[in-house]
Amino acid sequence: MKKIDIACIVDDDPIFVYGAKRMMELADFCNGFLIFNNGQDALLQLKALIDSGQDLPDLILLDLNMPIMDGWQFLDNFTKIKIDKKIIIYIVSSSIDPVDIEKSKQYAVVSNFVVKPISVDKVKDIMKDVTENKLK
Amino acid sequence: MQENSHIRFDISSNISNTKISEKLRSLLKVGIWKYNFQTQEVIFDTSLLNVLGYTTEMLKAQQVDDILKLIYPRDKKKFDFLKPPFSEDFSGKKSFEFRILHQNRNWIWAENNCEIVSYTTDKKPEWLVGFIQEITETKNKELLLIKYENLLNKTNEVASIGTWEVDLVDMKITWSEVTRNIHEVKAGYTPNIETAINFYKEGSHRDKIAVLFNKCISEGTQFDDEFVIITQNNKEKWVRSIGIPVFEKGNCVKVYGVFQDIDEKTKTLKKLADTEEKFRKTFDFAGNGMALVGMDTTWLRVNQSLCNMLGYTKEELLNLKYPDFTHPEDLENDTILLKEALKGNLDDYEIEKRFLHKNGKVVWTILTVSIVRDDQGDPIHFVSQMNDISNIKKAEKKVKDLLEITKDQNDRLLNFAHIVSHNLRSHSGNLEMLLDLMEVDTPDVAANELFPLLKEAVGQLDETVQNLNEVAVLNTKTELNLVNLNLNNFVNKAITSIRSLVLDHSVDIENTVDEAIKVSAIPAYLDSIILNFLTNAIKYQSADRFPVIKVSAARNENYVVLSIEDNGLGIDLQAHGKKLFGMYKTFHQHKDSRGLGLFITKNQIEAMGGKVDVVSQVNEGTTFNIYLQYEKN
Repeated sequence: MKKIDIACIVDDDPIFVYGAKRMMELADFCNGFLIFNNGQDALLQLKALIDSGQDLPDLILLDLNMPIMDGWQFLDNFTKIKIDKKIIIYIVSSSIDPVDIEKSKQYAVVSNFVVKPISVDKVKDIMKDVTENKLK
Repeated sequence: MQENSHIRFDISSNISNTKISEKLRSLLKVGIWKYNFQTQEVIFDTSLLNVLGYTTEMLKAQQVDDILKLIYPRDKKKFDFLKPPFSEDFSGKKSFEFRILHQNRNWIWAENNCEIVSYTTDKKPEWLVGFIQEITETKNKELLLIKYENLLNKTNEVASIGTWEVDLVDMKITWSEVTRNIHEVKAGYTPNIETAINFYKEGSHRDKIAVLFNKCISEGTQFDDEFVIITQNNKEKWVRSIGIPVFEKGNCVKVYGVFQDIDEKTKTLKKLADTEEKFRKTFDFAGNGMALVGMDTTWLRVNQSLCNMLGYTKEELLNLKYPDFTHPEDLENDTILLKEALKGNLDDYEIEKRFLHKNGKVVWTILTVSIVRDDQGDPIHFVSQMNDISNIKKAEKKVKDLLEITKDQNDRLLNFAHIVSHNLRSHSGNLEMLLDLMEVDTPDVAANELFPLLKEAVGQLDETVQNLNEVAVLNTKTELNLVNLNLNNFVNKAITSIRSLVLDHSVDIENTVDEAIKVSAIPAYLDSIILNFLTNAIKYQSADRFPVIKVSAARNENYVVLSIEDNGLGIDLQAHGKKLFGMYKTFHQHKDSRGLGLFITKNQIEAMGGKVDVVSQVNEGTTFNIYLQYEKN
């Protein structure tokens, strides 16, 4: 049985989304995907899911630089919503700016910071990480 | 006795004669009195009573003490001779003036003449007769005269005004005391015409007085002029001499005049004129603009420099007020200060002020305004000085503009670097990811001979972008991350981390950095800097020598200087010096030359407030000096 049911990718770059999704499929990472193109899109849809009582994702891979609502704004809004389920959030960004990495540490909900490009190995690391986390 | 009875007779027996003399006495204001030394009894006749304003009832025959009460206190002494002890030298006659109280309570002046007329058998004075005449009017005039005379003398003395007189009939010259004093001659000195003229300074002064004096005698023209005399004590003195001729029957018999010492006055005036002349010259020929400004802010006087500065003629300027050519934005500030100065709160002030040239151009000046006050402390006028600083201002503006442009360009560059690095990174990242996927997903394609080349190309692109990113990030990092670090430890750490490289190349690295030295740096940067220079030194070793690298440190005034010296290939600084720390420059035909290392290293050093320089000789070696900041408390 897979540890992760639904994985959510919030990123405006279709190539990254394609690649990441493909790699996660290859790694048998999860059962299903939720894909959003920006923070606002993600926030609205996730809220709708909560309101209708549907299943929420177990994991969110969040990009930082996005149009309309960026990753930070999404975090600021998302952390205000009360959810029973524990959702693991990974920031996946091409930024190597230490300022961004430092900032991400200030959000308790953010588990880790993954620097793009993503690779099969990195996907496996995340999987391992999440599994161990979930067992605790 | 005989005489005594005779006087009695005069007064009492001959009636008509008595009446006449009585009348005469009252007209002359003369009265007669008698005194008996033995009985101290005083008898006044009616005329005397009239003189004093008393009636017979009021002042009958009295004792002398009663009469003395009427005498002016300070004059009482004059009557002492009436009472014992009698003075030996009293000849029997007395004549003196005294004051006595009139019935109207005024002091009147009287002259007393008296004489002893009879003696007792033992030769003591018995009777004294006298007449008293009122002289108040004469006396007052006389006193006034004395007062005026004193005053005149005093005034003359104070003003140093003397008089002189030349009697042309008997050729006698008279000088007053003050005149003598001015000539500095002794009290008894009497000059003749020649010696008097010779006191005047030889030359124009003596010639002038001679001409004037002759004209005065011959034509009757009075003179009034200023001369220099040489006094008896050989002192030069300015005097004013006035001469007035007196003519009798068509001939000049006398010339009299006034002689005044005006030395001090003249010298002061001359000095003042000198000072004014000096000021005028300074004012007129000063290189900076100067103006005298009245308390009503009108221009009293302006100099040529100011005219040149503002492009107006003197006449035009004097008809303008300062607001007419003050830059509107500076008017308020100047007006405020001016008001403060007028109120007496400020004695001078200095501001930067813009004037408007006649042609409309702005003239930048430093304006200094001082108030000139009279000896009462009241302001008379302002002295304004303007220094044209337009050129300085222009240069200042140019520098400011340049700085602005540089800052702007720097910001744009930074922005550009950020955009490039971020966007490029996501694209190169995607390429790498896709190739990764392709390798797993479609092994056929990966087997193609082009695939590894494509992968290498993408890998290099990623590395370049990463380097670019590092540079962009460098510029945004500030002192926030600076910590105190032990330099020796960092050098040792770097040497240890490249141990395999050192062994491979059999390099000798000497670390002589003092263990006590600490620097203020970012740990990651310091690591990277030392590593970079060490690997460089190893990389560019000379094939002709055993490679030795010396790492040392010294303290100078502002920095800790870390020196890394090698005996390698060296760099031709003449040819490459300027490009040494540039991006992607390499100077060696070496397989590992990448060029970016020095550029990033230099940026890292500068980001920590340091600098780097290099000394090198081709085929001898290279020394890099890295200037780092001292530890901070």
